[in-house]
Amino acid sequence: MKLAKRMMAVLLSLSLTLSLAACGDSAPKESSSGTSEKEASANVSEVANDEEPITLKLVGPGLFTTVGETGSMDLVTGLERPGYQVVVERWNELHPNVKLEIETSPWDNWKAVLQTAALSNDVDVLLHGSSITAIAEPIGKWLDEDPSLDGKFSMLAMRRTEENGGDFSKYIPYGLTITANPLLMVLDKEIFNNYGVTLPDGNWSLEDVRKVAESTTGIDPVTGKQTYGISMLGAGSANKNYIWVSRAMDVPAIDFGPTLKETKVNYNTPETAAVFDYINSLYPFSSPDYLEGLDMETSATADSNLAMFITESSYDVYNKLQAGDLLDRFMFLPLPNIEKGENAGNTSSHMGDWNMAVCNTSENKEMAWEFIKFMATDPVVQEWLVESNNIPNYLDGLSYLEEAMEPAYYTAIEQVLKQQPLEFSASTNVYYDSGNFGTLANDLTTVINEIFVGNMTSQQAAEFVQKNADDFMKGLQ
Amino acid sequence: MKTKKITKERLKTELVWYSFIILSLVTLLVLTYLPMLTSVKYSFYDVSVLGYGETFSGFKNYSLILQNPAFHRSVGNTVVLALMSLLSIPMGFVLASLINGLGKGKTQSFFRVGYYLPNIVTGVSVILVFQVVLKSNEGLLNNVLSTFTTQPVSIGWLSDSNFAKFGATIISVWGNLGYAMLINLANLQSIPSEIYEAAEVDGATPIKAWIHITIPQMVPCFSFLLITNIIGGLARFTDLFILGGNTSAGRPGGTLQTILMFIYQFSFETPQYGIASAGAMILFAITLAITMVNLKLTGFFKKDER
Repeated sequence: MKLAKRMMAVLLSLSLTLSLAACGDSAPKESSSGTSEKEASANVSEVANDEEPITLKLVGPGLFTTVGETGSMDLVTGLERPGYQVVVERWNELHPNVKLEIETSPWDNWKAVLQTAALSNDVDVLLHGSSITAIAEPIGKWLDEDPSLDGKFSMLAMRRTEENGGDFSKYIPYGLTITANPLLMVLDKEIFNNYGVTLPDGNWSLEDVRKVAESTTGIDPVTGKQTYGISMLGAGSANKNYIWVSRAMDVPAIDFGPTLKETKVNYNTPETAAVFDYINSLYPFSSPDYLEGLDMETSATADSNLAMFITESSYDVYNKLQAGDLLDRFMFLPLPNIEKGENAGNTSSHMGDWNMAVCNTSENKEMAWEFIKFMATDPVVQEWLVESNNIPNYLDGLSYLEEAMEPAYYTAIEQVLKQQPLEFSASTNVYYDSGNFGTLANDLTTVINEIFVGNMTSQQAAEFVQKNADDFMKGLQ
Repeated sequence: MKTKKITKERLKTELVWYSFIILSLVTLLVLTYLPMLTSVKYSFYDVSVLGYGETFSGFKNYSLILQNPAFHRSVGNTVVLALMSLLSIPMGFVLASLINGLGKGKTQSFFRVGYYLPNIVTGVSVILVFQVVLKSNEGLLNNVLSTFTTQPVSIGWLSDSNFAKFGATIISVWGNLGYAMLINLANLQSIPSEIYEAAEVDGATPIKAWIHITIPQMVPCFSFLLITNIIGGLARFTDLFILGGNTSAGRPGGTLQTILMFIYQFSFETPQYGIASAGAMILFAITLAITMVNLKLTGFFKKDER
């Protein structure tokens, strides 16, 4: 009996010593981890030690996949990008009890990857998952609780859904956009100069674009080389040209109803045909290699033969120009202004994004929200985003971009980000929708290509798109 | 009692043997047959997001797909492209005959390896090269045609929907020619020389021998290539997907959209897994039917009939 009591006492003392040691151990770790201790400890004091130890699981494609944990090097420019280890370390400073488990995936079949992860209850944060509304948690409640986020973002990951009796005609925020990719026009100032064409400013119209493209197509009077006025977004993604032109002309084709079935789609109108006509009017000023996607070979180089080209990857173009010491020769401009409607006067450039959403099967939704808010707003993360050649969607984060870029380039990006309506999604809007109407996106690409080679008129194109949309809508009945 | 013991022992031995393949069987079951059966199930359901709100819809997906003009077009494209790519069989045969005529030696080995090389080149590189060869503006093929016709030729072999099938066929024939040549050559060399010697004694000219001996002897080889080419053609995807700018739209003008690309579109671009699964079932039925017809025509079932 005595022996048993002694053993018990030893065990209790041991466990007490161990628990005290554990408590004592964590504190010095905190104080020695950060470079700016005061700043870190101020943040840490708010959340850190009273949190339950949990693991947040992140799954999906995008930036984390591109840079990897320890960083990557761009083969073209030789520039190095820091890995997501920076993000993990910063997060661990703020939330030492919340472990991050990141499972990166490529873009191939990414929607199926996210759905499978959600199905197996094995994910808390969906990387780029806001468009899959069935598995993403609406974030409106958290945004309402946190007024400090009001007006801080260029865009929110807005989607439409009928899930849980939702009104399909309304945008609902399903995630926070971390990085934005604005559509921009890249101008070769030298070609403009050689032709004696005045450089446009960020306040130009569709007609200006056409005129400038026309004026800079031909034999360069100075170099004697053949030049082309414009390269639109690649013919393989011609549907994206439809988005910015129809937005600039303000030609809505989709009247969203409370449900998908009640939504009306009408592409067979003279206005829509006019959109196709405008896109086709730029084609003669493109390189004959445009359709095969071979016209960009010398773009943004010293041998450039394109007066203007549209890019979706402005940071990559910037890096290429910087590597070639050509920053003085080129510049960025937002796409032309929207001609009418409530956004008249704003640029028609839309933006792609990399977003994060909270998975609705997560058991740690609050912490998942905390994480995506951290990704979207934390200063260390914002700096990392710019260092890894991305454009932060958080407007305060733009100061890092301003430091990193030449003004002729930064100004255009800033203009697009600041003029972007918060309630606009490039993938679902009144002009275009890539996810809800069957083959609409592919159909637009098909008809625009057919118009270019003269196999279809604009009217026939409008009829073709409408016929397929009608067939799809009939299938819903 | 003795018999029972033997059965037990046999069972024990067999179980040991079966234990070696159990892993493969389970893997096959879980990773192949289970997804296949799930696909069959999904083809009767309305599924836009996996695991969320699957509703039974009977034959609706099949009905939608069979009434869809884009699906009809993709079936037509698949069949036409598969038939056009059969050109590699006669071309491979002619090439094999020529190479065989060189006699065994280093020259024959050189041509054999040379013509087979395209088969080991990565598909993506082939497409990138052919995009330049077949481009409308001063592409290699157009330049050659311009020289022969003495007129400027600027056909968009891969960008004009009127010509894209020809462009895609040039790529597939170029890629498959080496394989067809090799199979033909192996069969040519397995024809007993005594037959030719006897024919020569009987006064047959080389052309007559080629028509009356070589070609009939090659029928099983042609049948094999026909089956494998058609089945390969029905499952054609990667090269056309890359040609279309990494979309399943079948650029240009949807003329290169195959059934598999149609299915891909509804699987991964605008996910509607029910429709995609129904498409996959229809493709399975078409492939099965064509294979059965091929096997029947080529006498595969004759052994059983005997």
